[in-house]
Amino acid sequence: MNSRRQASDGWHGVVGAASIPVWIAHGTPPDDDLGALIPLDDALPQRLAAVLHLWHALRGQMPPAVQLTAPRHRRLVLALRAHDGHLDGHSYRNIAIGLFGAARVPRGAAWKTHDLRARTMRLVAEAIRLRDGGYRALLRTDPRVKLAR
Amino acid sequence: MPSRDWRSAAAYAELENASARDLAWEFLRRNPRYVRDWEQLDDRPSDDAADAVAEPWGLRFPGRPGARRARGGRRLDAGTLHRHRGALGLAAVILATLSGCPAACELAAPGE
Repeated sequence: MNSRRQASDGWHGVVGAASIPVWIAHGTPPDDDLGALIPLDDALPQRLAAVLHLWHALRGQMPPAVQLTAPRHRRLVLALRAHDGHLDGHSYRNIAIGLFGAARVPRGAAWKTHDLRARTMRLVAEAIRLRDGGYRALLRTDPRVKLAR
Repeated sequence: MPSRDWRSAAAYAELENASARDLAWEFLRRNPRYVRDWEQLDDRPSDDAADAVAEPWGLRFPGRPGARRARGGRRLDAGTLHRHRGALGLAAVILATLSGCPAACELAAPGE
């Protein structure tokens, strides 16, 4: 386990090249025979996926890819950039130019109704929402094992 | 405030393989109240003091080695923050001794 540290509730650290966060519960000797503790809560599907991930890593296998979908990933990074432009005090129009290129951003009145204007405003709003608490919901998009319907 | 060039996709290239957790962290570390919480801590706060700040934000686990994404963006407390970066631990794995775990069984869910 790397970056290991003692916290009030046990050891915290990360394992493997994928840096899987691991928490060794309070009172557990780290070199003991260990098992995974999976609370029967709403996050169980994500926790099971994380355990599988760790299991692969411990066996020296590459864990399966656990990425966001490409469009969602792209959108989130774009939202980050829009946020940073907004924080630097730029107008939506300048942010749109920075993100999408000047060629795609019209001048004058056409901008007021252009879809890139609405899109840029949505990106900034989404970023602020994620920054101010929405990041927690983002965690719930971690990979999960599939459940029966 | 020093910030990377938001106009440049390349300046954010390090997020290319970022997980949902990594990106959640990127948003959180731009939160002014979160930044203020950290700035009000000592330069080298005790683990307890750092944990007290981290917990309300849903942070649990220490940073990854080579926390390259911590650079740029807002000014943040480098030392302590590194311990917690990427630390939004919903899907972290909890390990406990196989043969009974009275202490562990009382644990709340991480990140809640």
